[in-house]
Amino acid sequence: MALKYNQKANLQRIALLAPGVLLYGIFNFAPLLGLFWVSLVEWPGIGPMKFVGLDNFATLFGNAFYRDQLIKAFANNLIFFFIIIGSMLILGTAIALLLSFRSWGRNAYRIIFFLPYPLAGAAVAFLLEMVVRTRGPLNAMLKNFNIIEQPIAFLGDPNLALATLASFYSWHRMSFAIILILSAIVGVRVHLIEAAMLDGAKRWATLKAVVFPVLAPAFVLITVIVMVDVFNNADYTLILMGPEGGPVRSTDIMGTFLFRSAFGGSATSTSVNFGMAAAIGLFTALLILPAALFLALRNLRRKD
Amino acid sequence: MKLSALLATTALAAALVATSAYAETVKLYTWREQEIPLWKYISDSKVLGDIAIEVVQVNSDDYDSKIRIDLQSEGPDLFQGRAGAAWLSSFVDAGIVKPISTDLSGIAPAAIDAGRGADGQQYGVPFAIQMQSVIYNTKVLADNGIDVPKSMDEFTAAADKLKAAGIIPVNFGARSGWWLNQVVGETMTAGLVPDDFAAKLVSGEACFTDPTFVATLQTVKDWQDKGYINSSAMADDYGAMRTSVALGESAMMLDGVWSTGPTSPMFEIDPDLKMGFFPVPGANAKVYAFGDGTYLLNSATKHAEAAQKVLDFTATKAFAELFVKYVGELPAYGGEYTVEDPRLKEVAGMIAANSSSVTPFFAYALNKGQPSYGTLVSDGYGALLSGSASPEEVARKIQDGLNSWGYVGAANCK
Repeated sequence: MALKYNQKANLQRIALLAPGVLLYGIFNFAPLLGLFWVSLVEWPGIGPMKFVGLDNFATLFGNAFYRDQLIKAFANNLIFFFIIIGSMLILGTAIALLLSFRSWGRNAYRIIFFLPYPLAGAAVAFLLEMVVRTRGPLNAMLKNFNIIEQPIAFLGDPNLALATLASFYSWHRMSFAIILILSAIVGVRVHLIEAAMLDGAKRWATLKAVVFPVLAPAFVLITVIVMVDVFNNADYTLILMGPEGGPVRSTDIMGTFLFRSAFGGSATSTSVNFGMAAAIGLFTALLILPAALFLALRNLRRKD
Repeated sequence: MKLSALLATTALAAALVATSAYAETVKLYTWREQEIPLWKYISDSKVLGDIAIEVVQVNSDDYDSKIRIDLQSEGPDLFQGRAGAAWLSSFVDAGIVKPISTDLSGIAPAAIDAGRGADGQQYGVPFAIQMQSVIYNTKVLADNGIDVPKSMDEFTAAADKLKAAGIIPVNFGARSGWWLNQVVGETMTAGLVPDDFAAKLVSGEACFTDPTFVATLQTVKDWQDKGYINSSAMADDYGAMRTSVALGESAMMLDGVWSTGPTSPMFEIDPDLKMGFFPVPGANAKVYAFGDGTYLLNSATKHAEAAQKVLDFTATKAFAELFVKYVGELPAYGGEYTVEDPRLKEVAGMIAANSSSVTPFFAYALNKGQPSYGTLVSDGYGALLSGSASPEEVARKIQDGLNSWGYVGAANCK
């Protein structure tokens, strides 16, 4: 039976989309639905599940002990996110711009900047922790040049720990931002730059008028991806500071709070609850969903 | 046959032979590195017949999380649990541990509560009796001409002397949450709070905002203000604290006797290290003794018979003597057994003569709700040492936290 062209096209479309949808459906969407169910039960991870309805949410927002932790974790997470995205976008653009010019050793620099990215998070965490330790090389160097008297407790001071972890993250993932921004810069049509230069615009003005608008999609992409990663994962904090979230919970972010509710912290926890963790996860998703949608749609609308 | 194929087949055959050397393998999870030589001896010498015991050791900070994750799949056949009904309660409620049939008649009365659940039944076999106190590097004190302080004034004088000599008087590894509540909180309480008052704290008749209890927090704060504690206390964890004392950079620390056992990593730093003990010389001046924990049987184990055999063995005199020999700690066995080690003799003497009878950290009444006493003390000391709360505020937070789930003293202590 000969298919009409439209039918064939539709079939083709479905066939091409099917693997992606199946993979996403099984590994992302189905667990998400399962998350709704788990947030309605009380379950310590072992033994039977007890249906408690919206009790987990009530405890999370009602009980001061949990609410305080939630607010603190979210505030910390926001600070964490802003430090990371600030450094990634600003430094990333600066480095990408430098890489886009015909500077000597450009390829070597590109390789060096990309080197941290494929490293495992745990490896990077331990490596950088050794660098900032009180007996580590960074403190030794600062002491050597008489910049400080006492070693700075980068990971021990509640005021510094979060920023230190944020810098670890940025160092690790910087090349991701650099590559995206660089490809956006390189995609700028050369004759536009030439036209701007002919009109007498200086280099900075050219950049501002011609190159930066093209970066907007890249910026949005980086922001969304980093936002989802930062709010959902907590590798550095968990590995280095444990599930308790470092010195007096100063590095406690949503990821560690969630982990602690599910599996217990280091201070001999007596009650853990996967349901509470699921509630926290849903709450996190709800919080970042509007921001992610807004950014993505805003960018789509921009396209002409 | 080609040489490589021959080698491969031989290797495979050897591997098969090796794995079939034992009829059954039982997995034991623990946070205690010092147990590894003990179980290796028991396995290798086939004390329990054809059962091999594989010890999985997890860092103490991560133990609680890891055990819960692993119990969802194959996981341990046996695992060590921390003492007290509160810690056991989640495992009991989930049916992971069931009341045991092991004969516990030989266990010392002081340790028997370690395995007792909220319903009064025994769920595990207690293992060591531990002592927590001030542990000091004898060489450092001797080099500086300091005797063991018998009062807080003597302690302050000793600390001043040490500080002048460039040594950290007391090292704190405040990054480790479990150490803050189990060791610091309890040892300071045993040293500064009279036993009868501590008993009232547990029963709810006395409040944590009372100056008698606040003194424990205030003393630590005073130590910090006077510069007796390492400036990086919040960055250093339990391991860093022990390292510092082993290196001789610090003189004293609040720790348990397990750190002075033969397998302690402190001896890897200094094999000639000698350590001594004394209670915090406050109003109560007692050391803190407790049953460290229990051996628990995972009811979902696939090696039930072999695991039960191992569990029953841990309650016997033979095990107690192996325990003393290979772990270097006092076992929970109550009957007569030989102790030759002078250090252990000294510890046993201190426990018998001068240990606090009250253990708030393990008290079910204080730990059955969230936030538990343990969690509050850990957070409290963390806030205290990082300067974000005063001793009174910390005590208030502990009291409020306990009141929030209506502990036994909630009505009495507003």
